[in-house]
Amino acid sequence: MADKKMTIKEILKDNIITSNPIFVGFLGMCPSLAVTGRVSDAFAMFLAFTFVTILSNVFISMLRNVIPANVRIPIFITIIAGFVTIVELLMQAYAFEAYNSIALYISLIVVNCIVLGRAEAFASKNKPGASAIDGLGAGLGFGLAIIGIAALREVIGTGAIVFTNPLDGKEVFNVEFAADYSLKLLASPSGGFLMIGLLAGIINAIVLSNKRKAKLAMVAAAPKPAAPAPAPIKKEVAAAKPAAKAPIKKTAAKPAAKKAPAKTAAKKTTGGKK
Amino acid sequence: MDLLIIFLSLAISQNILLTKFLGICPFLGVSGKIKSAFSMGMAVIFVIFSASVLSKLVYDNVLVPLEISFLRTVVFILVIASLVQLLEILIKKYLPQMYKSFGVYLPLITTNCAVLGTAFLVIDNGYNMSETMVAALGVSAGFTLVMVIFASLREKIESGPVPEGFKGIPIALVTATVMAILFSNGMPAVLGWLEAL
Repeated sequence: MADKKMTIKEILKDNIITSNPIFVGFLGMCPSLAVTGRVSDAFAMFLAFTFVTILSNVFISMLRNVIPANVRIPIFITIIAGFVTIVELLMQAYAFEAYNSIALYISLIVVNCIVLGRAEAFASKNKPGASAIDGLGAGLGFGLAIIGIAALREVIGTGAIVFTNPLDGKEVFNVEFAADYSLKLLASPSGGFLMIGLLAGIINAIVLSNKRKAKLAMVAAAPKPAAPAPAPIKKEVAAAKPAAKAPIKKTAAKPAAKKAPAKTAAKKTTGGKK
Repeated sequence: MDLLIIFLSLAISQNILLTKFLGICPFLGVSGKIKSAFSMGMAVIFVIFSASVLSKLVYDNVLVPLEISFLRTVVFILVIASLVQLLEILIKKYLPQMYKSFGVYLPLITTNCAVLGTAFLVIDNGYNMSETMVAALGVSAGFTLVMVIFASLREKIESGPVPEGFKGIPIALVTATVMAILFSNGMPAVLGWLEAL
């Protein structure tokens, strides 16, 4: 029991923080940009997405030993499409207002890289129980990110957050920060790009500076000649930072090829991970 | 004239990438090479056109008569996946030069939101067959245009003074913001000015 609990926490933490699909992997950008105009939209999307991801993960996990490897991707997509259809119909029946504003993007969950990615990376290799937790984690990681972005966009864009109950479209609460104020840019599609770009940039900058501080600390703590130094750093960094940081390094390290030695160590680590 | 309006609006003022956010993944991954952006665009035009036409045919002749139009998500994605697979085999065999220029992009287009999105768009807007074809061409032409513009900007951007945390995808998104504003607001403004002349 204790083992499983640790594993649950690990699965959740991995999905929500270390490999957050939006801020780390930049997956599932299409719906993220589209539904983050309002918190209500983002919340509805979060519910639908989590529903699909958990169920498709469980289903695929249950069938993992009978699906032939060479046609697994089309089969995964079909299974996911089935659950997306179910959620479309459920929303049309019970949450029509919420469905209407994001109808297209609910349907597009079927080609969402995150869902397919979790199916491929986790559900096809793990038991249904763990896969369900993984699906929940992916949903939470995605959902928390888009709700956060939506909150920022709605507040800065319209000065208030109006949260409507997905089931009957009635206003649940209305938090007003500034009356008579609107920055239409942020409420429009262009604002979606801007907000996610800025947030991703800021988060990336923070992560990179933390990494650099850690590396500098390690170099200072172990005064050795230049040649052996990269090797222990590489091992420490590889052990300390979860594998999921590699995507950021790849995105950042690629164009920043001519940077300081810290970057060379990052590149080496990325190379070592492959 | 109607067809021209459909084409222009889908290509520019309602550009699928910049206003509906479909097709972001390849957009963010595009390199500075204009040629590969163009090849990707060509592959996309090909697939979106055939997928939209085929999806519409299946919808009108199979789903609606059998009253199972709610299965459109499943059916369309299967249609698209099979279509892409088939296209890949045919092109590889009969047009190897074209196959080479598409490169690895062709199979990746199966999970491209833009393809499925266009199929839905065509159905939701109630287009007939010729409007469908024009719409598909408009969407994919707009997509290609944005990809090529962005590819040519990318090199300039990366060599400029970009803050470290923003390198790569974040600065790409910020650039996309400007392009989105230009495309969605600039076009009507230009049209209005032309009309006033």
